[in-house]
Amino acid sequence: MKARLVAALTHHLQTSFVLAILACLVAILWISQSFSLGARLFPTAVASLGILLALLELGRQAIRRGAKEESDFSDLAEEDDTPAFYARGLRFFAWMAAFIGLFFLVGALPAAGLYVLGFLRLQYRSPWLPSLALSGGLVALLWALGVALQLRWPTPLLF
Amino acid sequence: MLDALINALWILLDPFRLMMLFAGVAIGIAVGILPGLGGLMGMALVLPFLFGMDAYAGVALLIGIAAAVPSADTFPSVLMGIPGSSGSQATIMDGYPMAQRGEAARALGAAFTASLIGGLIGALALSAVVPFARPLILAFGSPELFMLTLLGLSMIGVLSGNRPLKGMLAAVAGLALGTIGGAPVAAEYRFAGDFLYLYDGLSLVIVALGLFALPEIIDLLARGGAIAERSRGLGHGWVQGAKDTLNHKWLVIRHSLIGVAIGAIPGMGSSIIDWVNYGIAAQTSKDRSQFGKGDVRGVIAPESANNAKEGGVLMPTLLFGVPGSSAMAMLLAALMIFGVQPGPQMLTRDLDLVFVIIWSLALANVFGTLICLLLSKPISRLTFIPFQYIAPVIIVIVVVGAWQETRHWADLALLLGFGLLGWIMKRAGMPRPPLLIGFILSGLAERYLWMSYNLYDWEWLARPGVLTIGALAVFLVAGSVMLKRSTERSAEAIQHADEAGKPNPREETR
Repeated sequence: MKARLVAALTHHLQTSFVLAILACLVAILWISQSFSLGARLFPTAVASLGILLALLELGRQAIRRGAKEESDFSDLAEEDDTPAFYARGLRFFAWMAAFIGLFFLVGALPAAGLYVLGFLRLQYRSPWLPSLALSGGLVALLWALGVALQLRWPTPLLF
Repeated sequence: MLDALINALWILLDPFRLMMLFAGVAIGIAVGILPGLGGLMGMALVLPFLFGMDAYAGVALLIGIAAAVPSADTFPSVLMGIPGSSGSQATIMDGYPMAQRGEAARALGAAFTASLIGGLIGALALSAVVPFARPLILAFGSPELFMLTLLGLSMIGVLSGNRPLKGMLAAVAGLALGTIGGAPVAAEYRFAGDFLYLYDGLSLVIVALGLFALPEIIDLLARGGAIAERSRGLGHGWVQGAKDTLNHKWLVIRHSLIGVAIGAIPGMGSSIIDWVNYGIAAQTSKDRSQFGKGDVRGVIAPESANNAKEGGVLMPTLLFGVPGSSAMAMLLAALMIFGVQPGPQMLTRDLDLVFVIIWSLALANVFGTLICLLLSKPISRLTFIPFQYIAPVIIVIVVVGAWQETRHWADLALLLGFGLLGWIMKRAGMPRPPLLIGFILSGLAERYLWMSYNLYDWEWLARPGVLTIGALAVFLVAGSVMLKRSTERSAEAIQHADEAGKPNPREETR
């Protein structure tokens, strides 16, 4: 049952992804027809070729229905395609989104410190000492980088 | 030409540039020893900090990363039996058994020495090719250059993933993404609506960071646990390892040259080069009984090829502006940041820069080997740091780097969006390198297509050069797919035989 669920999830993910690309390419082809020749030539050629490839890929997927396919070159370890794995991945994206929110709210350096501390303490229950040390060290590193490379930080919305 | 070569060395010997090269090597070693990360991510991480930097220093930093990864990724392969990157998979076959019998230092010594010699041969081959290729390349017109761009892109699309159609689709999607913003040959803005931020097109730094840095971190975090368990010690035998390599000097030279030749074909990838060389070394050895059980030749051959291939992948990158690998796409991106137009013009306008890249490659190999040899103990300990301590640091650096791009909130929103896209692509089995390379080459391809159409109408399609490159493309794509498939089958057979503890299947067929 679980294996079937995972297979269905993987299968639908790749099909819906190709469908999304196909929809974007059709939109590009449609919109680009209103441009002048110079601006139209390349997007038309690219979108036409892309639509052809997307249809061929959908046809291939229909023939090889349900077959599990490996990911790209950079996958070095055993792949994990369980729903729990997807949920964990999305949770880490949420952590990242939270950091970006903090980045604008309280400023870059306090956000970096708070994020690292919160991530290690709340997500991993790491001991206080290494969490504080890493958080403080990173803030110091960012400050030094900011001075050396003349980096600019966002103006905090809260202060 | 000789003047330019010597002049480039003097340019690189500037203390700041040397420091940047050294920093690149250090970053390359750090990302190389952590399985799951790699040169591509290391290069994406530093890309935002290149703005305003001297072009020579910037390329030295990037080449330092690219050259150090193939040396450093040997640590996890030998010590833990986990490939540090896709280019060190075959090294496990004999490196790990050597470590298990207490000869890790010997395996690493042999690997680093082979890597050093291989890297230098790669740099030498690249510098030898430039003077000969120059007149031929300068004779190309825009139709031929357009076809070469398509050739490189289709090679990478077809060879990057496991399904050629998906790779090609990803490449085309990249080309389409590159059309957002101002049209290069007409005074019009495309697909930007009223959003001013998009008028300059999507930022390459954001796309690269989102596609390659974030998905790897998320995957490693979602997998959970430490990257690796603690392994045995390094043992002794560093000098013996170096002697092993020198005793097999012809093996090193032969596999370095094979590494350069295969590396020069865009899209062939590190893992193919690694396995092809391991296979050839095993096939052509008189005594094959120890292959797979800890034969030092099984370490030397793939490692020398792995480093030498960097010279090969730089050939199409520098000569034609067609990236030989995804890491080289980052180099092209950096060149564009510095205002350098990649392609044949580099051989006339920026010859100094071309030779600085070659010198950087040679020196980075020397620095990388020395650091790996001298600091092997602390470096090997880095592999055991739990990833939850590394991940938030990388995420903060990625976000800060992305923010420096235009300091617009949309930078970070797009970073997150491309991160999610990259992760979904990974999960959906859609290769990401063709998308990035398509995106990078989009502007160039559009210019070449427009110039060809403007000058020759559609008659450019019948030019002899165009037809020759078209035929070459079909031949190369077909040949490379066949080589890739046979390499994958051999690699699987070797791995299965190893896992089952059976004798090597090649033995049985002979």
